[in-house]
Amino acid sequence: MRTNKARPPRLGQWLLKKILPSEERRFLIEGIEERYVRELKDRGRISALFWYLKDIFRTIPILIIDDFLGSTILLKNYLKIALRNIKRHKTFSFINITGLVVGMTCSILIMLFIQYEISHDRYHENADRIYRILIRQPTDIYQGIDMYSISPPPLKAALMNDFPEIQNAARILRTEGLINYKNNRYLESRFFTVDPEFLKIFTFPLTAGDPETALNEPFSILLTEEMAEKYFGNEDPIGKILTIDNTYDYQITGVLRNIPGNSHFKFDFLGSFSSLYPIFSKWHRGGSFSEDWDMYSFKTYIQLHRSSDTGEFNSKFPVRLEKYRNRPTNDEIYIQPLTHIHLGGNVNDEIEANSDIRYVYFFSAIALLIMLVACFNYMNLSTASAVQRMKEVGIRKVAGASRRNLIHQFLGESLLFAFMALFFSLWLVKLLLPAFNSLIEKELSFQVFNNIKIFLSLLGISVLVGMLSGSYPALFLSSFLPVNIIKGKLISRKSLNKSSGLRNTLVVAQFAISTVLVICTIIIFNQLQYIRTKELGFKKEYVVTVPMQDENLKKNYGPLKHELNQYSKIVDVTVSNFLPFSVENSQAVDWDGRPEDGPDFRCLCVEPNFLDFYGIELAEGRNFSKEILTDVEQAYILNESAVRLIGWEDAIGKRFNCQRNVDGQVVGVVYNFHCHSLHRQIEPLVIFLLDDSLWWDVRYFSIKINSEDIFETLALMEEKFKKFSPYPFSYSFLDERIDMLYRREQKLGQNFEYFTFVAIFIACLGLFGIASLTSGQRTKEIGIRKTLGASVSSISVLLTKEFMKLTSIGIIIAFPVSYFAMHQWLNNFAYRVDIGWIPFIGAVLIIVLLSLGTVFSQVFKAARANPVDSLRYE
Amino acid sequence: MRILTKLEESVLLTILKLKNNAYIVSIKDQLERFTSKNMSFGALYVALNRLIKYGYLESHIGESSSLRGGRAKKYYKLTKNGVFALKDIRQQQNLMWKGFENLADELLEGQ
Repeated sequence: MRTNKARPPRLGQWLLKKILPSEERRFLIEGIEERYVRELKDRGRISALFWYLKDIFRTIPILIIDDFLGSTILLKNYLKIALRNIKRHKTFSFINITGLVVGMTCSILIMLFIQYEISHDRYHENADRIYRILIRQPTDIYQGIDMYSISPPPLKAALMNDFPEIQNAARILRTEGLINYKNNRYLESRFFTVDPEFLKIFTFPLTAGDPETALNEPFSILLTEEMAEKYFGNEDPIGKILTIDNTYDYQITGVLRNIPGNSHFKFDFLGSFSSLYPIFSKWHRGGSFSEDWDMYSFKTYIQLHRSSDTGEFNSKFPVRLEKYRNRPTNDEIYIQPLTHIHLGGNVNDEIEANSDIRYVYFFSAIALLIMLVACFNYMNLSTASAVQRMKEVGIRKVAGASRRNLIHQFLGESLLFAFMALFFSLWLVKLLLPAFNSLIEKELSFQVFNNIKIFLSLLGISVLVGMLSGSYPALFLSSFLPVNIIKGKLISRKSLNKSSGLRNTLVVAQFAISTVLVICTIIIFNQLQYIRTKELGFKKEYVVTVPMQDENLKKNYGPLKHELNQYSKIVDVTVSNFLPFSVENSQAVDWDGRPEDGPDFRCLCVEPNFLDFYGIELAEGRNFSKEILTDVEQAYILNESAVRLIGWEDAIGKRFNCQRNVDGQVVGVVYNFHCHSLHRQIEPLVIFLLDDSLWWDVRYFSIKINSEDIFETLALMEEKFKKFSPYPFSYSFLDERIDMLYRREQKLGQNFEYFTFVAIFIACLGLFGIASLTSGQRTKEIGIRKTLGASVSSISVLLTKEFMKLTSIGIIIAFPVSYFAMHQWLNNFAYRVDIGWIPFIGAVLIIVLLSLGTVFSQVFKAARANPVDSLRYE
Repeated sequence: MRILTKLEESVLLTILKLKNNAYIVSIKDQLERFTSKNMSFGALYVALNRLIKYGYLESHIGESSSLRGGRAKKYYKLTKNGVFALKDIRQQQNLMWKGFENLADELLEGQ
């Protein structure tokens, strides 16, 4: 007697029944059942169930593998047929494989990129226990962000004292330095000064020197292998002396292995922190700099003990900074895990610009879309070409092949295609990687066989692609009824319609995807063009900018300017704390009736000729004047935004002050010019003259030159600068610097162009295949139409119309999708183009023309065929 | 001669010993007793089918019994070839193991 309880779980039994072929399965399933009943009796329900599940889980894979291996003879035959088919239908095989190869190559490249992005900073042994300290300054919002990666030097000790979880903490000061060894002299911008704990927290191995002691002494320095080679060639650098800024002698105590590219900060030199005491003592007012809570110049990183609970530690933050210092402040201390920094977007004062997790998602989406387009292609072509293989299917069925066999065969075939495609695309990736690297400005490497993870995931992807693209053709082809085929009835109307329904959907999807990409590309291009050509409100042409990092240049500015002005090709020279396209600092300002929490203004400190130099126009009032001596300390010029914010009807003559002892007044108002990137609205700005107390803040020379003999002028400038400064002469053109602001967008645009091209290419490839197939299948219809008097053109139109219908639907679907996506993207810019209808019309034209061109050659061939040939029976 | 796996060899031996009562559950029970190794039904099933394909085993459906709810069992029996295969293995093994005791003792004493 059996009760229901004595039966093993249904799901397992059902699975077994599905996997095993018909009759045979009975004995195994019954065997398992019998044993289950015994287990149930002997050891109780729970352990019986466990036994059962364990057995099932081990049984199923064995059965599946056995199933595949069992048909080795057939396998050989399948392979033969598949290869024969590839050979016989050269065009289709070519289209199929090309589509898959292009798709896979793109996806692999993007995958490598994504893998590189998410691998940032993970090579540190303690990566999961390292945090960066961030300070949030709610009252100082810069570039729309109130988070800063810089913190004051005493914070390290305060945190160590307060949080026993912290094992090590290190401060980093990033500076530039003029480095000299035996007149081998370079300006190095990646010079870090760090606590000795730096080497304990981060995993930066030394090839020479002792990490325990290397940074203990003042004026010790480590350098990377690359730098050792640059300065010393084959010499042993250990113990040598590097002179920095012509003043300080650092002794080399070790050599670091080169810093991996996937780090959120990179450096070439590590100076010891203790060197800072003598250096800073020269100018730091009142006490040691290391006790100065106002010196926001250092990055602080901490590492937790292995035993400490990171979750609990996290929950203790943010902490108010007030706790540690005796002055009230709203600043708060936050922590950010090391591994989140690179993809976490930028905070203020990053060492290097970070990426954004959104870009990773974005590229993953593109990879997926391209892969989908390629898979759809394969599905389409194989179902469309099914008719040609009907006889084969019929014969196989008559000879006793089950549907399962056939599904195996066709799935196997698409797997074969996928692997062939993988093989070619690996080769292509190798070939294209250098170009791709220079496109995205990274150093990706690709060693398939060294990296088992990559290798396996590639295999996985190709299996997935094979399965996905083979699934529908396999099911479709294997569903033919042999009776119908042998009778010559072809396939039933119904299943043919069903298959062409799916095919059409796929074509529509392909073209929708391509159209979205085209529209996005056009809009991105428009926006970039808009940025490049937008009137910024100042003249940016033929201006050479030279950073003023050297005290000598500041001291000798008068004579230098005089000498430069002597030369006829140099039109004018001026200096300022910032360049007009990117005014980066802001200060508290005061005017009559300023509210308590009034905002800071951007400050531009200039020479009197600055406004004329840059052609910045005055809306009212007057320019600075050399003749009016009080202008130096008492004249302010505001921009329109500032006046609007204050709310003055007439600004001229109003009292104004910006961090000065004497009140001044507003003498003029300039029209708004873009003093930031176009991502942001123009903020309130105050312009005033440089006085002696502000000279330390001067950062840039601007030199306007004649458009003729630019190289000669540059050479002359170099000569003059060299005369006053030991630093190497470096310069850049203002318009190039402005372009740099939009570098990220330009990269995006470029990448988009390439990927769009790839997607369209694959889609057209597919369309070409289908067009040639279907028009081939309709030769009889065309023949009849022609004998009844249809013209070549009317037949062409008839055939083309169907494809155009599909592309049109795809295009219509693409409109709202791309509008929405681009609307989101444009929101990043305060100043942006209207989307308008031009991108859409443009995309329609491109897509329609391309698909027409693709289809037409095939259609025309079919329409021109002589009806005698197509209608004659043997 | 085919080279049989250890599992296939054990399965053949077990079936030989079970005489007329060799069906999938009893074979598995017996095997577990001999080898104290737990294998899944699937592995056994696959091995049985492979041995049938080699021609070492033959199977027949038994009469239905009330014990299993009126369902029949599939019994396995060695073919002549199966028996010869076992004999071959035995012969080979004998050859290989010949003199083992002496040599092993020698080595152990030497250490």
